[in-house]
Amino acid sequence: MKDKNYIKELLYRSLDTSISRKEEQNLAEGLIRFPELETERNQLLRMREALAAMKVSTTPTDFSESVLAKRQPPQVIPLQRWAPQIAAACVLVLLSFVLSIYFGEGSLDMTSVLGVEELSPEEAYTLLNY
Amino acid sequence: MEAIQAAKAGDQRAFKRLVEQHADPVRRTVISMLGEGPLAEDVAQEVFIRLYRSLGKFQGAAQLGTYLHRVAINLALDTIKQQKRRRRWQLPFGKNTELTAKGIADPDVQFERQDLREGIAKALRQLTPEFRAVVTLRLVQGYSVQEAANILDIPTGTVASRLARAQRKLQELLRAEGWR
Repeated sequence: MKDKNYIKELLYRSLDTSISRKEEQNLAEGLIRFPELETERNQLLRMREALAAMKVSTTPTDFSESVLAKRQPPQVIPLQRWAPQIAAACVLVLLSFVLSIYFGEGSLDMTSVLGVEELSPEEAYTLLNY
Repeated sequence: MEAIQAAKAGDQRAFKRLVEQHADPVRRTVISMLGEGPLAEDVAQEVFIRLYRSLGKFQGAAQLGTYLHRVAINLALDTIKQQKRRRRWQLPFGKNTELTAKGIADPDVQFERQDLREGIAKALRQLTPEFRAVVTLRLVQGYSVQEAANILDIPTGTVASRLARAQRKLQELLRAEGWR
């Protein structure tokens, strides 16, 4: 003797997936034994029928035209479009600057990069005035 | 198949034919998810714009319907999320009118006693988006559980259990409105 919950679970499962012959038999017997499940089954079938027949408004006549008009990819602003190239150029400039110092001075220490060995405040003042 | 090949090659009329051929089922899916309104129309159009941008990936016509419904469901789910986020921000400032005006049904709406089909459309929009998606694909569009699972990229068991729970919820909602 199968209980009501089992029959109910079988009922829902039978609507969307295939059930075995034995389960079919259990369901048929269960629906006789539990008339409320038979009522539920009828309601489910009516509801599913209504869902399948659900009407929506007719497609606007200009639907495809609207799609054609919109299908261009969104405009990318020029700076965004060139950003990777600009970044690559900056890296290249920086790299050539560093390499030129390295090959010119033979090292990349602070003295080579700045171009002076020591910079006292007096010398800085003189350089700025010069 | 021919239309896809022609559209891939840049034939605008072929692409237009594809849109016309699939517009009804796609709109039906989107409207089932979002309700009628300008927002649903925008989302349905966006589905085809996505198609246009991905034409190169298609091998055959068989997968086109599946692809379109997958995009339609995903875009509808994204739209629902965006609307929820927007509503969360707007509610404290008393700006809750845009949602219904744009086409998303107010979940708190009380539906009057009326024709089962209309009642069902409203009850459908009171389901969670995940339940609505399985009901839309399986019961509104008639896809099998397996196909719906493929479109949603979830196991068939999940589709089956969501379907059962969604139908019970729909019945509850309809019964609460006097449906026998």
